[in-house]
Amino acid sequence: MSRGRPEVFGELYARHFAAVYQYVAGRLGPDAADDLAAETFLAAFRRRDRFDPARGSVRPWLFGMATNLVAQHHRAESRWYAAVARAGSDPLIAPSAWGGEEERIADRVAAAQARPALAAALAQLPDRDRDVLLLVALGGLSYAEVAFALGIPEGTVGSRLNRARRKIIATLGRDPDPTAASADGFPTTLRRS
Amino acid sequence: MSPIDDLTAIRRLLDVPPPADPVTAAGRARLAELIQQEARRDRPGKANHGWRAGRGRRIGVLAAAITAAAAVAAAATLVYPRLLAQPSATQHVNTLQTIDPSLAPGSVKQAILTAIGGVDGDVMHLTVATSGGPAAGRGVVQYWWWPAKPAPGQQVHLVFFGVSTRVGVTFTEPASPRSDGSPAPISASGLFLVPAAKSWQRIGQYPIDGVFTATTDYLLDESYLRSTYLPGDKVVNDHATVGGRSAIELSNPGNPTLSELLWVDGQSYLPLRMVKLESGATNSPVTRKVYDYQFLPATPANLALATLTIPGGYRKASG
Repeated sequence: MSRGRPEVFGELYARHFAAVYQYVAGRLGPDAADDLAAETFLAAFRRRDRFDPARGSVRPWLFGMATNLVAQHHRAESRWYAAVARAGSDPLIAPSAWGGEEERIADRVAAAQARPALAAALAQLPDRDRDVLLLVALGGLSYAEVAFALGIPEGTVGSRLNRARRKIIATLGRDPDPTAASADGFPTTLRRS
Repeated sequence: MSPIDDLTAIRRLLDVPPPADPVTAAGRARLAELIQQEARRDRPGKANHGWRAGRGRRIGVLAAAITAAAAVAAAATLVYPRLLAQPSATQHVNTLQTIDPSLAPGSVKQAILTAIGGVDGDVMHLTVATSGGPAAGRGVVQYWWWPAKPAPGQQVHLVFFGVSTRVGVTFTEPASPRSDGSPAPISASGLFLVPAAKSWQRIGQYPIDGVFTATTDYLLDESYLRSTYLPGDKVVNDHATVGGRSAIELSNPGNPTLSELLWVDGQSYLPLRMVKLESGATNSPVTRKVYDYQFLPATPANLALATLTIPGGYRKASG
């Protein structure tokens, strides 16, 4: 990849846009992702001089930038989790909408049952813990990649991830929280870290 | 216990389809346009810079960022008249005829503080219209809040009409904020309506963490007003008409990056309208939020606005 040609970004876009879009859409919903996924690449293009390939690869760098943009839409994220919690039958986000037939029925039932509680638990995580958790879960990043994306030590990634996962695992064993059924960002239980 | 692990559960919960082709194409077009703009700026013979091309390049990027930020701030300031013309008319007037001319600057400040101290028992109606910015945040939401300025221990009724949801909440006003100054947690009970599904759901008790202060009542907080719009005695920025009413325009000098103005009623000195322009993410369109306030007497009809009831034909939501 030539580092000196801005048109290289066309290649980056083709290679990573779908993954960045799905990460942003997972956190803010498809409507917001339409804009913010593209914003991620525009921001990356403007800051390409700051990218250091010696420190990490392009993919986590882009995810870090997307995470920063997501952080500026706190209420939209809260609204999205509330919508996800109550939208088990929503064709847009129901797994069957894009071919989940490979899933075992039991898994799908379990996922549906856990949906409200899981969404509420995600909303209640501190921002920094949620960032780490979702970069791993949705972005598929390794500890080192998350550290590069967020500019934090790997040890911090591990501690934040463990803390977040403990809360999520505890939630999966509890009854759903019906307050997650609220929409439009009100009342929100999303907490700032 | 769930048969799937937590990360898999999260992936399935938040999994969405890949971007549609038009979305991908639109983003690609915006990126291509940006690249072309940059290429046009490059003079013939100028050295081709790498991603880490050195101090000069970085200074250029920094300068561009500063310039862009300044441009956003300047644009936000310059577009006030145009922005304020929608959705309802706000016109600047260059006369003090509609305002009591005997009021000295310090008196205006005191009149505002006195006014917000007198709305305790009123019903507050707040309409928030959001335009521009990300699609997810756009729309009009409304609140009805009674009492407008509750005393500690007082029961509060709040109705919220969102884009797709209507919520009625009752809670007890907490005695005091936390030691760090943040709002005390509130335990509320609520009724949730989803008009599209004609469904309702009641929630017994659930926590609310400071959301009210952030969205509605802070303009009625004297200490907040003193630190933002009323930092000194000379507080009047301009005079205007808002929705046909004479109004006093106040600015928030402590918030240079977030352009915002507040108008208070020229007679009652209560908040009438606040407009915020938020630059948001890099290169994203400016988000414009218009907060329109009304303070209504606590008549039976107005109190009913702050209580949500289940409309006929609605069914109880499952789950």
